Amino acid sequence: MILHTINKVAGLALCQHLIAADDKVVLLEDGVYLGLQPLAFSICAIRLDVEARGLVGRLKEPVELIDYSDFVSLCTEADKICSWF
Amino acid sequence: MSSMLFVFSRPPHGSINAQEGLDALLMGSAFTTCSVLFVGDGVLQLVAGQSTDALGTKNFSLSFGALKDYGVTRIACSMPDLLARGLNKSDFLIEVEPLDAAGMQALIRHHDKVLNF
Repeated sequence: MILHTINKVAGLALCQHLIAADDKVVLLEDGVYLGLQPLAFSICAIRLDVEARGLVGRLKEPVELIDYSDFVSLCTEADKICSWF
Repeated sequence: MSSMLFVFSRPPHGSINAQEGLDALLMGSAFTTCSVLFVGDGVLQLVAGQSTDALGTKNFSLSFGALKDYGVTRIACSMPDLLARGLNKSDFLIEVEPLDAAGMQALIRHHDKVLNF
């Protein structure tokens, strides 16, 4: 499994063609704003960043909210991590 | 030794990212197997005819010609991002392999580490 992290809205344009069906995507920092739009793949978002921006309950389904310990677990499970910023 | 894929995603002269990425790629290729993938505005780094004389900065695009000599294994770019900018292979200063989404995903899968610049 490849883990993609996106920390800016513009980051999606860089990686939209690079995300395979069995990859996982984590939105963090300003990247969580991407959760406001419908996305073609399933994603997780860092809860702290979502709460800070007042987006709880405003994100499109299915965005799964995770905390930092979940994020660390995902990182350790991943074969490699790609950061899009 | 891990194989490395360098992803270049920024335009050439607006920030230091592109030049730093190229320096890192050339350095990395001295130690291990490296490939490069140009995505997004990164494809603009490859446009032939760049001239920075009046700008007073280094025209690092000339160094792309050395990638083969440094043993960089694959030099690829995003076909969708190329087309979105109205460019094609003939606009580039070196030979580059345009890849579709599946091709780029396979390239990422086949490398141990992926670095975005």
